[in-house]
Amino acid sequence: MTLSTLGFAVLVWGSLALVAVVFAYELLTVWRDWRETAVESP
Amino acid sequence: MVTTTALLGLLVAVLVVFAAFGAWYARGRIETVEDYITARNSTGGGALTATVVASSMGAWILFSPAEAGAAFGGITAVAGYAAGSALALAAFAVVGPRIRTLLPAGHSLTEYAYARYGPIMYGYVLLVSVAYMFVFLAAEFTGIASALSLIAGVPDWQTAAVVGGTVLLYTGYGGLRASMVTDTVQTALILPLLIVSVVVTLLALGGTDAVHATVVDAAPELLTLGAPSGLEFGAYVVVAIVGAEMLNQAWWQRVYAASDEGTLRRSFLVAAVAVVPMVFLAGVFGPVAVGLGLVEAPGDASVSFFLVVTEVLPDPAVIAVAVLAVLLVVSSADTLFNAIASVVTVDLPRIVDLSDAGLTAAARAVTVVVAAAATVVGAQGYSVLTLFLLADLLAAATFVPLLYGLYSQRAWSGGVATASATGLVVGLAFFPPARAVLPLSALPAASYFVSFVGAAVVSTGLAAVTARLGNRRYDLDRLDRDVRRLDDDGALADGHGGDRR
Repeated sequence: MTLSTLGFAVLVWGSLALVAVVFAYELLTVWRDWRETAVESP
Repeated sequence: MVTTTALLGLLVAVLVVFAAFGAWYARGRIETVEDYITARNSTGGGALTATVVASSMGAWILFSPAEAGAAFGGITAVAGYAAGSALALAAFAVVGPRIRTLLPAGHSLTEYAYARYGPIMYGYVLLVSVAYMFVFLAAEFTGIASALSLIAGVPDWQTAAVVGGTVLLYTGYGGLRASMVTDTVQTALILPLLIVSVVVTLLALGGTDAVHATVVDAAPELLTLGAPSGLEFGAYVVVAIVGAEMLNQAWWQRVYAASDEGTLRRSFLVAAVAVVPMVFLAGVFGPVAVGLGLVEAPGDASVSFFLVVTEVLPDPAVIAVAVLAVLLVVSSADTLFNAIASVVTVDLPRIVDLSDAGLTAAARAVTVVVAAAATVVGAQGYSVLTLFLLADLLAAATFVPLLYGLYSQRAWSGGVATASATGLVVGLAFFPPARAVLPLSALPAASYFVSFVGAAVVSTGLAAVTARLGNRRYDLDRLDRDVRRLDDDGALADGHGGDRR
C-alpha cells in the first residue's frame, strides 16, 4: 500500500510538530532545573 | 556556491565558542576522577534529556536513514531506523535503574562485566564496546568530512582537524561535565536547525504534496508501507542498533549522571520519543533524492540529504545545514571521546597503582589519544560501513547474555561466554561480507537479517539454557560490594572482583 498524499503530509508535519514540542519541553525543563539550582545555592 | 574559507571560518568560530563555554563551565568542577568520568547524581531532567538526544543524534542521522530510504526499502526502512534508535534509548529507561540499584558506585559496563562474569567476558565486552564506539567516532568524522567536501570543497583533513581539535580542547579539560553542558546548548540549536532545514527544503520543493508526487512518479515503491525489503531491513537494523547501544559506554555514564532514577527514566523516554521524528525527517530525504533524480550511483544514496539541500536551497540555508551537521558531529564526538577514556580509566587501577590525580591525568591522556586517532582516521575518507556492521554484529551476539546477569542469579561466566560466542558464529556464518573469506557456500544464502536476528536469538536462547545447567547461584548484592568509587581508598585494594560463580 502506497502512502497517500495526506498520509505523507501528516507524517512529515506531525514529525516536525513533535520535534518542536520536544524543543519546547527541553527549554522549559532546563529553565526549571536552572531556577531550582539557583534557589538552592544563592 | 559556498566558499571553503567562509564555511571553515564560520565553523571555527562556532566551535571555539563551544570549546570556551565547555572549558569555562568545567572550571573548578573537576576535583576528582569521579567528576571527570562520571558526574554522579549531578544532572537534572532537562540537561540529561538534552545530552541523551545530542549524544544519540550524530551526523549519521543525515546519512544512514536517508540512505535506507533511498536504497534499502523506502519509508518502511526509515521507520525501522527510527524504531531501533528509539528502542535503544527506551531500553535504558528500564535497564538503567537496575544498573544503579545493583552497582550504585559503578562507572562502566566493562567494570560490571568484570565484577559479574570475570576476565574472559570482561575482555570480550571491552573489545566489542571500544571497537563499536571508535568505529562510530570514525564514521562521524568521515561523514562530516565528506559532507563539507560536498558542500564547499573543504579538504577532509581540515574538517577533521578543526572538529577534532576543538572538541578535544573542552572534553580533554572538562571531561563528562563539559561534554554534557555543551550537549545541552547543542540540542537547543540542533532541534530548531533541523526544523528550519526541513521546512525550508519542503517549501523550496513546493510543499509535501509536490514532494509526494515527485517520489510517486519516480519510485512509488519507496513510499510503500510494509514493503518486504523495508521490513527486513527494519527488523535487523533494530537488533543491530539496540545491541550496539546497550554496549555504548556513553549511556552507562549518563545512567549514573542522572540526579535520580525518576529523572533517568523520564529523560531516556523523552529522548526516545524525540529521536523518532528526527530520524524520520532526515530519512525522508532519501526517497526525495531518488524522486528528484539525484541518486545516480549506488554511492549517492548515503549523501541523499546533502544532494537535496545543495540542489534546492540557497547558500545561507546550505550554511545552516552545514552548521547543523557539525553540531551533530560535535555533540556525539565529545560524548565518545569521554566514554572511551572512561572505560580505559576505570580499568587502570587493576593494572597500575595510581593516585586520584594520576587517574585524572590518565583519563585526559587517553582522551588526547582517542581524539588524535579519530581525527587521523576521519581524514582518510575510508568506508567504515563494513566495520560498523561487524561491530554491530559483535554487539548483537553479546548484549543479552551480558545484561542477563543483571537479572538472573543463575547466569554464569562460562554460560554467557558460550552463548555470545555461539551467537557470533551463527551471525558470522550468515554475514554477507564474511562469505567472501569463509568457505560457507553449502549454507543458505547470507543476509543481514538472518545474521543479526540469528546472533541475537541464539545468544539469548543459549544464555537462558546454560543458566539452567548446574546449580550455580550468584548473589547479586555482591556487585555493590565489589564495585567501588575510584576515589574510595578501598576500591583499589578490592580489585573489583572475587569469585564470580
